[in-house]
Amino acid sequence: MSEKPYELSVIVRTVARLLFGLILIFGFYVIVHGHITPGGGFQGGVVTALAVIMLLAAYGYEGVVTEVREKILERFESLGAIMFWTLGLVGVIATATYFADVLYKGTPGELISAGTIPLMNIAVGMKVASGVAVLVIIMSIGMYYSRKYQKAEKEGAEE
Amino acid sequence: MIKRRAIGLSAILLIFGLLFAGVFLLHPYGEPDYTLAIKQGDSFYQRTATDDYFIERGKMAEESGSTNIVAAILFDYRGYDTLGEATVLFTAVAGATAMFRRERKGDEDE
Amino acid sequence: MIEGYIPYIFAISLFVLGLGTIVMKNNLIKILIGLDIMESAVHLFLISLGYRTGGTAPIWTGITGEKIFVLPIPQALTLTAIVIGLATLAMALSITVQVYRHYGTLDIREIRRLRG
Repeated sequence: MSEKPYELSVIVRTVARLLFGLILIFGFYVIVHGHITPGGGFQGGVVTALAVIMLLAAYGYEGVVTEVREKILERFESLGAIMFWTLGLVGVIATATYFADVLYKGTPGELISAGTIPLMNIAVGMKVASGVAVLVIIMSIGMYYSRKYQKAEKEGAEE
Repeated sequence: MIKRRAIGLSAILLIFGLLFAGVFLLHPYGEPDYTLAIKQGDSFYQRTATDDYFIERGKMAEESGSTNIVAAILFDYRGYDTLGEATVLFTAVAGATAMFRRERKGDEDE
Repeated sequence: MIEGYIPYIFAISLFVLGLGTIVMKNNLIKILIGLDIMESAVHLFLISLGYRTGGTAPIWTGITGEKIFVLPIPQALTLTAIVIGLATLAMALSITVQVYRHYGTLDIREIRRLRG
C-alpha cells in the first residue's frame, strides 16, 4: 500500500469519484428547473460546488489542486456576474425598468417560460457554484501553507 | 476575570429579557398581519398587502410567468436584493483570493 | 397565550445562545461559531414570521383550486441572507488563518496583548 497521508481510504475515494458526475448533474437540474420547481440558482449552485468540495475531502488539497484550476473557476464566476448584470440591462432596454422580465414568456409551468428568470438562474448558479468552490479551494490553500510554514519553523527551531 | 464574566452574563440575560418581552408585540405564529379585506360576493376575505399579491399575480404571464414564487421575487420583483448579494459574494471571493493567492505563486516560482 | 409564540421564543433563545458564545469564549474559531448560530437564529425567526397555518411552499406545481401558501418574501430574504452569511463566514475564517499566522495563537486576550 502506497497511500499518501493526505488521502482518505480507497473506499471513500472510489465512491467520491463515482458520485462526482451524478452530483454535478443533480446540481444542473436544480439550477435549470429553478423557476418551476423548488430550488434555483443559489441552491443548485451550492450543490454543484459540493461536488468539488467532496473531491477535496476525499483526495486532499495536493490531489485536487492539479485537476481543478481555481483561475478558470474565478473566470466562470466573473462571467456569471457579467451575465447577471447584462440580463438586468436587457430589461432597461426593453421597458426602461432594471430587472424587468422580458423575452419569451410561454405557458407558466413549462421549462422554456418565464422570460429572463431561467437565464438569471443559470447566471447566478454559475456564479455561486464557482464562487463557493473557489472559496473552499483558496482556504484549503491557506491551511496547507500554514501547515508548511509551521513545519519549517519547527525544523528551524530544532536546528 | 470573574467580574467580567458576571457583567457579560447579566448583559446577556438583560438582552434575553428585552427580546422575550418584545416577542409578544408580534403577531401570533401562523397568523400574519392582514392589512387588506377584499369583498367577494357577500363575504370578505383577508389578505396581506404584498405577499398575496405576489402569490396571486406572480405566475401570470403578464407579470413574471414563473410558478416558483420565490424565484419570481428574487429575480423580478426584488432583483436589486439579488444584485447586492451577488456583489457581496464576488467581493468575498476577491478578498479571500487576494489573501492567499500570492503564496501559491511564490511556491511555483521556486 | 404563550402557545402562539413558541417558535419566536425558540429563535431568540438560539440568538442569545450565540451572543453568549461570542461574549464568553476567547477562541476566535468559537466566536465565529457563535456568530453562525446567531445567523441561524435570525433565519429561523424570519421564516417563522412568514408562516401561515396549514400553508405549503409557494410554488404552483400541479395545483388546482384554493391553496394556502406561506408568505414568500421572508423566504426570499432568507435565501439571500444565507449566501451573504456564507460569504462573510469564509472571509472571517480567511482573516482568522492570517491572524493565527501572524500571532501564533487564536486566543483573543493574547492577540490583544501582542498588539503593536
